[in-house]
Amino acid sequence: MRLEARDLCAGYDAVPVLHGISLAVESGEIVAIVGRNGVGKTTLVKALMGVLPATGGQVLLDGVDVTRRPPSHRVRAGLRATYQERALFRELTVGDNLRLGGFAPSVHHQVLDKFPDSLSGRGTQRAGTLSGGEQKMLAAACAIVSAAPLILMDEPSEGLQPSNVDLLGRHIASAREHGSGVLLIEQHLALAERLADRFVVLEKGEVVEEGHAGDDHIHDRIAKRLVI
Amino acid sequence: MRRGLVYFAPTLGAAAIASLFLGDFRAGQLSLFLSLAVLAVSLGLVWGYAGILSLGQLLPFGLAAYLTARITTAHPSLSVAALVASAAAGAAISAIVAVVAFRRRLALVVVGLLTLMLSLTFEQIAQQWRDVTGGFNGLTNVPRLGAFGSTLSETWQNFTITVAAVVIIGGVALLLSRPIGAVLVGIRDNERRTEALGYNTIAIKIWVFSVGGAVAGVAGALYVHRTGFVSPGIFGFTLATNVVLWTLIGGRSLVVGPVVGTLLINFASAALADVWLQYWVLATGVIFVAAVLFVPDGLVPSVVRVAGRASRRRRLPQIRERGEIPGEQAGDAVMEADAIDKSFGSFNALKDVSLQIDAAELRCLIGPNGAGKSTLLDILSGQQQHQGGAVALFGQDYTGNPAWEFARRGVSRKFQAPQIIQSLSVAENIALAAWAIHPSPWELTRSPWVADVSTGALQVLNSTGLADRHATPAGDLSHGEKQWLEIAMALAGTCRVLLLDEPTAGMTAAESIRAATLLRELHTRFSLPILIVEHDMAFIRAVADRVTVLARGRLLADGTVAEIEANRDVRAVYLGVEG
Amino acid sequence: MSRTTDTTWRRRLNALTLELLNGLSLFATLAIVALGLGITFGLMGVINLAHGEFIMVGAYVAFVVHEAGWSHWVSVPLAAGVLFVLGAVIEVILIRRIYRKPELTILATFGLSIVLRQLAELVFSKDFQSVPNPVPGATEALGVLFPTYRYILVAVALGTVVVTLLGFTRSKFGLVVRAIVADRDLAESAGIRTGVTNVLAFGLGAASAGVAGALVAPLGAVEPNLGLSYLPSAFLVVIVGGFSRLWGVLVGALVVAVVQTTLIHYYDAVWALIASLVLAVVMLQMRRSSVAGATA
Repeated sequence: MRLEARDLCAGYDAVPVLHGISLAVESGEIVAIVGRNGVGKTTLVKALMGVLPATGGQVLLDGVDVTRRPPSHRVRAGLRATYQERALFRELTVGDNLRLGGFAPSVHHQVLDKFPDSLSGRGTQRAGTLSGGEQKMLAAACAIVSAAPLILMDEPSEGLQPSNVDLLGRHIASAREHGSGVLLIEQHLALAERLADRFVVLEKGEVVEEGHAGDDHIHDRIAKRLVI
Repeated sequence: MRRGLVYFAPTLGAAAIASLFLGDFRAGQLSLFLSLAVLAVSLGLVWGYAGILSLGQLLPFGLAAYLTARITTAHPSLSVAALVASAAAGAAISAIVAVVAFRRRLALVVVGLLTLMLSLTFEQIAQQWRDVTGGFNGLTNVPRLGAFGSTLSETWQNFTITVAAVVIIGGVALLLSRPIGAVLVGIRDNERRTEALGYNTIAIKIWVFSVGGAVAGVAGALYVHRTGFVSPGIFGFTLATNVVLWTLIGGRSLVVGPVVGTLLINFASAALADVWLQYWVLATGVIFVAAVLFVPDGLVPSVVRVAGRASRRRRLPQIRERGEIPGEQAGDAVMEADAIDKSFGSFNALKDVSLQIDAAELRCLIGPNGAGKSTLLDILSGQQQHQGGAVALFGQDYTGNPAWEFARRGVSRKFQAPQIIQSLSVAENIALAAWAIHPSPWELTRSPWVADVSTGALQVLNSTGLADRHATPAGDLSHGEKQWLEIAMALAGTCRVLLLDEPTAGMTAAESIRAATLLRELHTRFSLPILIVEHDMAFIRAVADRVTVLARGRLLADGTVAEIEANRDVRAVYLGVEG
Repeated sequence: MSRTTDTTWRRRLNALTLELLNGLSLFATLAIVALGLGITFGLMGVINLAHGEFIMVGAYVAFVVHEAGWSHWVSVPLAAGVLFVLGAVIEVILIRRIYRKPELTILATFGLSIVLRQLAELVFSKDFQSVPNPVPGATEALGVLFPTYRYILVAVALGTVVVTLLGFTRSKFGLVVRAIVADRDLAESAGIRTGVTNVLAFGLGAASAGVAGALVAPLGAVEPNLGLSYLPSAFLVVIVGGFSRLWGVLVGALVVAVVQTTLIHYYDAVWALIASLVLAVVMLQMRRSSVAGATA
């Protein structure tokens, strides 16, 4: 499955954030989107999902224009996302979140056991009472276990302790092995560099740099764009 | 005001002449519909101007009608006293409702629901409290307007009610042509922004609700004299829907809108209802739904807009230079945050953050997303309450004070997404900021349509080209222009310290550099302390004396731009590379 | 002497029992009348001012069923079905366009209420129609006579309310609906078709009004303004019970029924109304966060 953005524009109210983004991600590869704060990475995820309406350009799934289709349509077509801020329904229990994620009660433990020692046995707890990091882990676990053809992840490592960041990296890599494609938004450059097949650097709502993992000086090219 | 008189005097004359020469039947209709128009205007005042959809405007109206009926049935010559009592009762009941509704900041739909429910409950009370209200049949044989022991003839009563109604409507229009009118629109469009300018918006909303109640009360008194009876239906659903319909159809954002709507629908209804009553009422329902879907602003504003006169509908306030922003002595602590703790549920947004802004300091606050930068700015300007620690302004404790108190003391704030009053012109936005020096709604009704604006704000307007666009509705400005307008608004009043949240968001690189230059200029020229939240390092290098870094709710580093750029921890936070 | 005391006590006990039964009947009526309002507001943030008219339409369904010579009990499911369709159609052509503009939903349903009332008047005239009591007579229980139909009404109304609430709180549909309330975007991102769900939910809210209308039809006159007399109490129940939890409808109905029955017994209806108002205001002041949160 292939997700493609063509000249995608989006923003909030009157504030334009994305000024014509073009990129693509396919099943079986990991594409990292990097860039400083406020360049539009989160906006990109929301616009690709359709949670934020595109003000211009197109979003295509396997060549079919889904720009005007609601997020639920894209999800049913095989797209899946984890968000940076509201990763879970905080008002509902962990178990209810898993049910909404499409997991029958019998497979809940598979999701909860992805990150050992922290989530197992907490199905009846309200998701909002989990720590910020735990919420991120649960959302990431849901997306990975779902084995959706394409997964968009917005800052999944934020708020995770180093050991779990490593584990997260291994899970994302294994999702690729199982055929999922991942669009990874990551401030944690080391993690992104370890995982990604390709890189896209955003600046002020535009793509300013692209490259493959094996390219010469790829680290320096990206780091230069991020340096303060 | 003189321009208003050009419309008002002929209208009053025409209404008076019409009343005398139309004959008792038509003149009677006119006076009846005008007394209802006064009711609709009271709804326009609270809904169209202040943005509070009150479905219970019948509460003061009906209460006043019953009160007037009781008083004048017993003492026919006490009409004037009854009128005054009606206004007072209307104001009082609305004030009580407003305190309940606004003190705890209930959602607007809940306020609408509450007012409707109160009104409908009053209908039931009126039906059942027979001793006082006469029960289902209500109070009948209410005498005509009277004074000095006699009552008016039907003709003269129609004349008096017509003239009184036009005068009251004119009075409301006059009131709204003063600064209070712009303040109410500010509250309607963007209450948070208006409060951050220094207006006690809750008090102003309670005030306007009470004034609306007084106007509705007077309408109720006139109405009951004209009809001669009052029954529980005066609080009922049918009339409640109708008043909202008239106001909606006519257009609530102008005083004349509800009047036009009321007269239009009622005369049409009187003409058609004899033959087509059932279909007519059905049609009003359909019109209602259609109006909501297709002309939610109402007919008059739509016509005005089509006629291309929208920009001239309100004359521009005169903008005058007030003089220098008083600078602070270098070295004094302007603003101190001491050990601030702030959590949202289990999430610690800020933990033990202390910060001191000195006079004549220009500081930037940076950090990754979710570091708590905007939250800290919110706490420093009273927008959010915090759990631990204290905030002091000029050595005085301000912990727990509302945002408008911070603004009064000189804390000016520009929000992350530009917050301006969309439907006011550029000049009115600036004036609104400057008028915040008036403490009470009453003063805002008396002060002239002239704003004394700080030199700094005028400098911003001039150097960004906004000075030439005074008449442009702020909603039509480009994103960058809105940013500048908001900065000018922040400066226009009593600004002693400026807090800017991402001023260059949405600006091009060139615009960002120009912004840096202008902010530096303001800072040095007026010794104005400025705290800026930013991400754009080019901008920060150009503007900052000092940089504070926040990460995960804690202070990470503090120093000059060069020191911060060399700091390993900060680099790790920004690049995501440990060590 | 002791014999007189005995009868006095028995009379008092019987009077109390009757009050309790009246209160129970009021509680059940309030709960079924407010159920749909609670669903549409709690669920979609839509204040449906035409809810009273939905009840009125339900009552006319009962009237038509009676005119057709069918059993009254046909009218309860039939009214539910008719109103489900009506509600779904209204959601699609009207409500859907104005979500997130709560003020406009108030106004649009305001207009809708006029249209429905007037259509009823055009079709059935303003005359008071009556639906005869399908179960005339009274049942003696606990030492008092109480109309049999009211016992049935209590059972059917409370049964409908409890089943509906259980459905919303226990089933996947209820979970989906709660997810939409919690975060519409996140719900869409979980693959939930919020549009379809909202049609169903609004339809179910309307259907519950249909049940209420069919149930109350034999209790009084069926006329175009019937809904208006139920609207204030329905709002009161929703405000007292809170907007954010569906079970609040039952809590609100219980509190309002207790307050009104008690005060009508000891004082009169006016005081009962005033007390209800004060109650609503106090509840609003106490529960600011949930109220504000419901529409945020």
